[in-house]
Amino acid sequence: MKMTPHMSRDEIQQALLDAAHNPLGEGGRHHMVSVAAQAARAIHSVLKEPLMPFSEEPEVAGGKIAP
Amino acid sequence: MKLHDLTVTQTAAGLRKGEFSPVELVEALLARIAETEPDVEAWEVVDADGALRAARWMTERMRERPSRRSLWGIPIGIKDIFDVKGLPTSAGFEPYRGKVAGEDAGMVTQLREAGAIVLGKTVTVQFATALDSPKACNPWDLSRTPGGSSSGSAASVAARQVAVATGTQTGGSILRPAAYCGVVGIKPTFGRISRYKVVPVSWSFDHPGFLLRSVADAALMLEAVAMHDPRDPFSAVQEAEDFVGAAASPLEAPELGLVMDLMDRAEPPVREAMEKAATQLAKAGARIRPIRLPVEMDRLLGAHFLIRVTEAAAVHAVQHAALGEHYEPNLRANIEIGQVLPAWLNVHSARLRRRYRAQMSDMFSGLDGLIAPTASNLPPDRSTGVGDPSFQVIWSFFGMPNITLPTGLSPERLPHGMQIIAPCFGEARMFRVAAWAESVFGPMPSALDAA
Repeated sequence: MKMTPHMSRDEIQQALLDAAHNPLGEGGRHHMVSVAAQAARAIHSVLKEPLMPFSEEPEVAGGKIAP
Repeated sequence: MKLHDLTVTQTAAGLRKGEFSPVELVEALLARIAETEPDVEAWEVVDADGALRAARWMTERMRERPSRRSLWGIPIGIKDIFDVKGLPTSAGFEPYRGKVAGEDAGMVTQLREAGAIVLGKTVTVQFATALDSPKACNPWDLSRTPGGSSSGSAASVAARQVAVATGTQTGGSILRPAAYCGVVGIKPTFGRISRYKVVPVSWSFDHPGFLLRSVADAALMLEAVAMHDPRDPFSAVQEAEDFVGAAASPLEAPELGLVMDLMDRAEPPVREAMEKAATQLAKAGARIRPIRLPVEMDRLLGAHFLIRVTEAAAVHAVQHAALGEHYEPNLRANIEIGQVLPAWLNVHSARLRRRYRAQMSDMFSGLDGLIAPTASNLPPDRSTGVGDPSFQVIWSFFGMPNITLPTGLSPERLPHGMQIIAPCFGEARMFRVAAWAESVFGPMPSALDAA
């Protein structure tokens, strides 16, 4: 699955739905959509913090990771 | 007062004084269950024979020599995700029905060593994770959810079928059902209580605890089971403190922080109830100041979700592949989505948790505790699921202890509650604050017996 920190919430939700197996069929798809939407909200929210090392974490070998 | 109306502390005192025997007590509770269970449906299994056998043995022993064990003769309900030797652990999952445990869970061992009598297993939502309301009903209004996942534990204590039941909380599964059912719920610091032989939800967040009816009971129960268990790799090494002594020494005029992020999100009846509770506490001498979370609440909820859902996917990976059709649909969806989330999101969320922990701990500076509404809403209709966990999740995320107290009833006679939150391993002070607040709020009526 392709997911990057720059994707929108809708794009993340769609990527999750595309990647996940839906064992519930069309009748149960709303459960998948609901959880994917919750996951997309969560992902979008945590990605407001940079993925780079935090100032209180030890510097990685080779210096800072480029954004 | 009838035996089923007694709290754990009152029951223990009555047994010590010989006012009644363990057999009379168990018989009284079995009669109460027989009377109320058709409505409440809080129990998966009632082990009447086993409980009476243990009670008879204890009654005989008491004639010879009174026991000094703290929970001698106290009946308890065990949430149906803890193993109890000789009883099935079904975890709300059909293929597990009839699967009898060969050994007690670590917490159950400690309860029995303290003298408790297992009365049976209480209803849980499937794997303590699913969102659908189980068969248990809220004794205050049978059309409402008791909350979850410790649904039967909360309902049984509120219906006065038993004075104490175990619960577990990964997000909000002890405090929310306790608040919805108008009882006390205690979730101690992560690692305080053994999780050996407890069905896991998410290893990073699973906390055992209790649902009961007073702060003194919460202290008594926690003191009996808070100990290191080498069979649980996350078990804390910190010794239990004198929690009973703490609860007996109410901290008058405490300095409290009212968490405004939760007030802002509370539904109007809950917010009004919390404002009234805070006013009561302030009039009684508390100094209360508004306080804000140091991190955006949605980010805390998001990081908790991402760790929980990926860990749950790992817990169920093999079994779900084989027995998926027995899982509730929303749980299946959680597992399927959890299995495709990139690993770097779990790593990032775990790093955020580490980073925010220090900031969250700073919130307690100069305060005796934080207070907030326990749940965002009053118990909703059963058809909508087991309610909103967001007000409890943020504390579970950091392993911080909290306790909920009932603060009264809404105009439609539904209970609401206030939670008191402490820094990790700060239970002793939390009990002192809670004991004082409990004395300010006064007793709750019985759900089924009040007019």
